[in-house]
Amino acid sequence: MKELEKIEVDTLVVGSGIAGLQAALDLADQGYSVAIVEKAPSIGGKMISLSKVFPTLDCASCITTPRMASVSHHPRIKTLTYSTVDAIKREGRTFTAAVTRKPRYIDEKECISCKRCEEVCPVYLPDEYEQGMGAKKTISIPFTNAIPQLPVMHPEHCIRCGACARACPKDCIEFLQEPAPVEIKAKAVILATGYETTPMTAKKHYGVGELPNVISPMAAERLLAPHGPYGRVLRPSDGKVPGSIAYVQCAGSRDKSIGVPYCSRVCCMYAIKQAVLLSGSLPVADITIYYMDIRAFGKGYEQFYNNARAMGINFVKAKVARVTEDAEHNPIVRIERQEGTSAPEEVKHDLVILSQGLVPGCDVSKFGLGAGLNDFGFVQLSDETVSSAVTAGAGVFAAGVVKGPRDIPDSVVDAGSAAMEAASYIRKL
Amino acid sequence: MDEKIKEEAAKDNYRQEPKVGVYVCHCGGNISDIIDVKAVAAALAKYPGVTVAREYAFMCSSNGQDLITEDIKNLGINRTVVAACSPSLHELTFRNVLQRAGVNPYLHEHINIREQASWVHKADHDGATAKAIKLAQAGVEKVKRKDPLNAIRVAAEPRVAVIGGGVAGMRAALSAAGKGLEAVIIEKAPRLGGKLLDLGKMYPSGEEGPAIAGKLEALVRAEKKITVHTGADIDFVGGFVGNFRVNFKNADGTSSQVKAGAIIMATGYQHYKPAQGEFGYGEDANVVTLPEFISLMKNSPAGRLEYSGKEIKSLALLHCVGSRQVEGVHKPQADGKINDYCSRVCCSSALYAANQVKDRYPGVRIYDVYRDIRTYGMQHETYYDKASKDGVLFLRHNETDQPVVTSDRTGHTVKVKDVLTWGEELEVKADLIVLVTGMMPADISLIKSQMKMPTGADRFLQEVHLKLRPVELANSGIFIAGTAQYPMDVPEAMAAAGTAAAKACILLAEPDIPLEPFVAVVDEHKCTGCGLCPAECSYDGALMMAVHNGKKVAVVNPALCKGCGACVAVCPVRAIDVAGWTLDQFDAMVEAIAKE
Amino acid sequence: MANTVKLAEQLKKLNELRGPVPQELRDRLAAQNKAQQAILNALKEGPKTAPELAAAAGLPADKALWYLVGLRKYGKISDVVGRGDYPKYDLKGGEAKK
Repeated sequence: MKELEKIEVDTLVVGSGIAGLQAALDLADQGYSVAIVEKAPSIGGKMISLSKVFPTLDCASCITTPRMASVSHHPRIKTLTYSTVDAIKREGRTFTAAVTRKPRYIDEKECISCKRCEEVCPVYLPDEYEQGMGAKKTISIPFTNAIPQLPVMHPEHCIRCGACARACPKDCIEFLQEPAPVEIKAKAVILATGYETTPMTAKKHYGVGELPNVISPMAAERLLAPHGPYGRVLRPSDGKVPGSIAYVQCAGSRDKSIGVPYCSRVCCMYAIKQAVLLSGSLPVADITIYYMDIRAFGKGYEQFYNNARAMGINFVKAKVARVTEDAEHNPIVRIERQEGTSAPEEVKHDLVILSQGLVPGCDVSKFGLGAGLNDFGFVQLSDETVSSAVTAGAGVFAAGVVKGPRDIPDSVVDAGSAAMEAASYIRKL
Repeated sequence: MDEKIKEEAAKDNYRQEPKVGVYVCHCGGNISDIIDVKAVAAALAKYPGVTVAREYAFMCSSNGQDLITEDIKNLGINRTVVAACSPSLHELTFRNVLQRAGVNPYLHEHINIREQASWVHKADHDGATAKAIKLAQAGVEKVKRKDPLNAIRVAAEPRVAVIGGGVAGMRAALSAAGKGLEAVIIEKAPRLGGKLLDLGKMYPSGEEGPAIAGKLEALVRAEKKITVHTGADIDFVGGFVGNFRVNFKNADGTSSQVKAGAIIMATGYQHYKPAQGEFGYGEDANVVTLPEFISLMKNSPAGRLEYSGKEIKSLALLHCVGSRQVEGVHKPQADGKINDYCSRVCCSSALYAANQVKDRYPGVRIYDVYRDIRTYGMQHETYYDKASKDGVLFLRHNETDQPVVTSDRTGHTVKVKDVLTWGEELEVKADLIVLVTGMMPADISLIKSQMKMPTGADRFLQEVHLKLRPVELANSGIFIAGTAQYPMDVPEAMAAAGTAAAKACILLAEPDIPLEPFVAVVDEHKCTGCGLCPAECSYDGALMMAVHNGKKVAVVNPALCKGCGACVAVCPVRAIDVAGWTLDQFDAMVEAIAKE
Repeated sequence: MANTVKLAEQLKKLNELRGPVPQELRDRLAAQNKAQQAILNALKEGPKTAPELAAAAGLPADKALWYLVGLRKYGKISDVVGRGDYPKYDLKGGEAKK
């Protein structure tokens, strides 16, 4: 292990999705120093990988990249990416976080982001940023807008050919790099660890993971993104331009059988948004949304929903019993309509997206901060009718989806409020 | 910020030959899918005065910004043109880049080739490219003629005025005071608490409205940095960021004024009031709104749900009354608009009330007539679930098939074309009809018109950008907290109010506030003192005639001027210009665009 | 530029620490190279769709598409502009006509 790096700040923010970034900025702009720890190689969280965002259809990058840049340029914010928070201890008024910087196997100070290592590396890997649909190399920069622009090497896929080291103009490949410990002392902690989508395996009868053309909404985001894996909307089984696309709503929410009885709040709107974007890039495609209730409850959302209907998106009140496929990998959706007719029908589509719900991105109880969790693993507030960020742990605050599903506008608003609570707490110490 | 600009002005490097850097953004593909960005950069590279022209996937990203700072450092670029998205989105981003690199931030021109070229000329790639080139060339001409500007700094009152003493207002004041900022709550009712004072048991905590308000009020009363004025009838709101004034009459007839650097609008909502006869409301005694029903339930004896002394054995909840209205199906409101928005909280609120009824009066039959059940919150689905288990009967209709309520001596009949039974026309009898009414913004027309605050089609206060600036009004220094912006429940209002306080604290973190320098500037030598311009000015005190150096001239108060340019247009001798937007610059831009 | 002595030392140490490169990884790389070469060879005949390339390379269509995507990302293959259910791909700088 390397020598211990020590950092002292007012507030530690765990997670750098939109909530973490906004909370950090709202604190730093008031004069407080902040350290952000992010487990991924880049800041930006889930939002940076989205295509466009409802209800205004701004491109997600246009909103997120400047936030990321503000954070990385901010004189009072220190960002640690590709780093894990292993433990947080509270002693008196100070939190001490044990953080590990994972090795990227490069000299981070010397690297000039020229990508030559990536160009010459011979081993292709599925790119998780593209939800496995695209490819990356064993050493590669995570994505176009990543901050920092530093490559990460995956030694388990390295054949030790040395091509990257020979191509590097700064001689900064470090095959023997080890994890580096960091100690962060802070007066307050903001948890902004976000979400993961409900596991695809949760609904076996919907065929995810087995049927190539039944995909996740995050994959659909990448298909629609400007720098997506295919550069256009194609289905993964054979590169066909889909002519008929269906969304299965509540495929991972409002379902006690999978332990997610709550509504995930965002799925109706992201499905409608994706449908609108799909009909923009595939003007002749038929797009159907199978749903129970459309929950367009935010500002401007009902109007967005109405516009989608006016554009010809097909909304069908139906329960989806299961999804299978034919010999050409065309998904077959078995539905029971809630209106019109009661007989089950089977409908063939080219591509099916399962509207997965949101589950906690991190079990924050492992930090032992005294912030209680609800039955589903989200942070429980002390009294949500008095404050939207105060947890049972003194000096521990929560921002964004760590408290339960919410959309981007709600998360941004929520983050400011968490920053404010942290600021008040620090002032009164 | 100021110091840097002064230093730089001292170095006088802006008087050097303009060296313009042009940066063309792909905006992912938003621009480059239509416009040949390489061709735009190539054309601009050859344009007079341009030292370098580049294109990049996302100029606003860290890498993109670094391209500019590197050019400033290595090539001595002293003015920039970024051809990208709308300046409302990212002009500030790039001004900050210049500032970090030691160049006056106002020596930047942001050209919009997305909304104004790629998005509107999707079918004409060549035309869009040609237009982008012209626009960028005009930007170069403009930026070459720009002078460095300094932000105008105004001393700010270190105080926030919170208009409205409901839960959002109290939370906003508490958060601001928690950070050490003085907060003044101005509430028109005799006591704090707002709409919650009239409500019974509420989700999610199960406490009664007044109890929730009481918890916040106790905190407010204990906070020394908060002053509370109740019974305050506001008659004037004026001023500008850093120096607002709020005048009001107190309950005892005296007048007071609060001076504040920022204002938080926590003016709340009003319940939608059904029109006379809407589902029998106002005509049949046993038709009430959900808030009325919640109070009624609170006052009913145990074991017997009562209304006007009569026992209620069955009731029907009708959702979306005054919300999700449809053109041609619903009658417009008094202002001619329909309420097409979803009121967000009513589904959960109605089902929570249904749960209460079933808990206290298990024998009461409940029909729930709805379009979509929107119980979106963490625990809300359990209200829906419990209602189903308790035997609440759900009837679902389409937006165009509104339920019909008829009344006779035996009670009410609700006729519903129920999609759950495949469109069968169902009739249910109910002793009481509960209209699940939505929220509308409180009437704040006086303040809104005095401050020219923007509202959306839904009449709620309109934020600048739902994600980038979600609680800010376009009026600098005015923030929104809670249901003045959109329907929300108490926890959501807490978040919004906390953020509004955060923005006020950030704004007032320093003793003075920087304002945009785009204000009218009068050339005293040219001004003939004709007096035409003050009549055109819409901003009180921004432009006046005064005697200066023995000569009658127009004088601008930069803190009040909004830079609208109305005065510029009427000046017969071109003595007025808006800094950063001068007539010479416009002439040059037009020439560049018109040139063959 | 790269310090070849340092590189040799690092690789040697790596072999000592981790043992030899696993055979599974070597096999995967060999299969990858073979598939990519087959795709590139097939494209020498002219633009092709993903299923056509899959047939030519003896790969399942989804696998072929994944290799294509990788080659496209790293500049070996480009899209061919056109209509139809299955878009075509060409060698970078190939002869495809719009």
